[in-house]
Amino acid sequence: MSETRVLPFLAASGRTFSLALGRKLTRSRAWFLLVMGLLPVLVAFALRGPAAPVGASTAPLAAPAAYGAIVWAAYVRFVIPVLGMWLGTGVIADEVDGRSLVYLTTRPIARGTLLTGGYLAYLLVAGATVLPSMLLCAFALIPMAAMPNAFPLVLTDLGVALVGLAAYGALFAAIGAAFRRPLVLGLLFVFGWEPLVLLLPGSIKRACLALYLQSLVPHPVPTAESALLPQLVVREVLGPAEALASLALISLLGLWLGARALTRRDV
Amino acid sequence: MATTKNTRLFLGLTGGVLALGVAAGLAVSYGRPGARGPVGTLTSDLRYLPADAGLVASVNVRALHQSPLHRAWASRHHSDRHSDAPLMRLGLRLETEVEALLVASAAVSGAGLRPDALVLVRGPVDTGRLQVRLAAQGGHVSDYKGIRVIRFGGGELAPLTVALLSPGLLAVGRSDTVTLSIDGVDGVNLTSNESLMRAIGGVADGDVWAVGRVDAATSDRRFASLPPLTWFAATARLSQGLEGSIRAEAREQKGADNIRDLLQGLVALARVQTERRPELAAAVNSLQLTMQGTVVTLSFAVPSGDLPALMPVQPDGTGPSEPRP
Repeated sequence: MSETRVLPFLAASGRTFSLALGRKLTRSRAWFLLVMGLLPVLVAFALRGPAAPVGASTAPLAAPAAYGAIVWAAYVRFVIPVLGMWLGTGVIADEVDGRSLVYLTTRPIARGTLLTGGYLAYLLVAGATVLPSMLLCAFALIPMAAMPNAFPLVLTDLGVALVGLAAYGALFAAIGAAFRRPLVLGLLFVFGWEPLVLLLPGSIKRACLALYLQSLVPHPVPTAESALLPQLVVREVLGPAEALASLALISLLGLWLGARALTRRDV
Repeated sequence: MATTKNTRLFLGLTGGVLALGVAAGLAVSYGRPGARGPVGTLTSDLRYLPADAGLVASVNVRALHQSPLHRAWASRHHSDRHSDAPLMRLGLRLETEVEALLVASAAVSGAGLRPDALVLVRGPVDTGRLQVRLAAQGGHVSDYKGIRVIRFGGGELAPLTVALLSPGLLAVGRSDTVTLSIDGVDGVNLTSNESLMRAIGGVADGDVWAVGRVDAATSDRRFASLPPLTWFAATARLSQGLEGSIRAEAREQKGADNIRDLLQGLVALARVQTERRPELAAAVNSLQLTMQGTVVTLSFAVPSGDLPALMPVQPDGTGPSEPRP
């Protein structure tokens, strides 16, 4: 009897990536993602009206405050965590719901590659939703005269968003691999734990991804007048190197724990 | 690849928007030489400074600490602690918590920083620890427009006020200066001052720079011997030694000629001095004086190896070698 050859890690991850990508972007989900990406853009165009601070700006070299406020309130505090939670928990939960996990685990691939392939598909889909949306907001709110100076900040924002999506996605992928109802846990984390703990004094807020992500945002915290959710923005800050290293560590740790949980999971 | 039509459409659409947006942004930013002014966080930090600032200066503290200039200074000055500096008295750790300083004052003064000066401190400051420390030192903690503000009504830190503007950004100054800074961030602020922003754009690539309006200062009788100036701008890069320029704009052509003549005389005098102090020769020979219209520029480039010779002599005798007989 011939022994079945297990596919190498990268090749197997590539196969599972391809499968997961098709599953992630169903027709209804693609529409939902487009709407989610376009909502902040619509808000940006609404802010661009004659009463908006940007339109009246006499500061051609400054990155307008309204754009910074959108990055804080819409992306950092909402879109990135919510997409990370929704799509991240789905990395494994989608396979469970589609009843394909049992089939996939019988294939000659390491179980961990189901998570890595699904995670890469998540990162592509989430990045494709958030990054163009942020760029459109920037072009909507920053006058062309100010763009030469503001664009390096916009590029930094795109990098920060990608790093944030990677960390949230890895965390929720691990939760999705380890627990039966990951979305409930995700909702509790994003809308319960993080806003609550960020307001508490002391070092407990280091247990929030938001602290590390906010430490990388290059824009000033919006003032009370311009912010949509100023009370949810933590004022403590870490050094960019520490924040970046922490997010990278969380991403790697999340993937490793997720793969480990999936390997031990009874399907 | 098991991608569906939906997948291809979604990724094609979003990828196209992303690629077009990045290409357009890069073209606008880098396609036209001189299109960019001050960059990075500086642009947003400048929004906290007043539109009528007469002097704006910046120090990249991290670059300064890592520079050959700092090493040369430290080799001559055994004590590197400045415990009486205002920022240290606030409890800020200069080497680990302060990355850059940005200072604005209403006008250039002969007596250093005026009381209306506003200092912006950027760096990974532990604001929780700072707040506790300042409160313990008698600071009154309150919120102003959603920003945490700590005021000192008495004690050695009076009349300072510290505002925690955003993650990694503090404002230090008098109470009215700090509140004006917070008020101006979304309205009229330094970025509204086009001439000053243009001047900053010309020097902001330096690790240390300053731009100032000096017409008021040169009309002061203490500076009566100087030709009437309007602006000055100075910048220095520290990574390879000390390289930079000092630029001054005279009110009229005659004034510019006088400044050039004065500086030419000083440079010639310095060259004579190099016969007795040959270690200064490289630094002095790097001085270049140019004039364009009413703008006079003195540029310099001192290699890192020659920096110790520029350090002042210490009372204990450490410092550059004594003049040779």
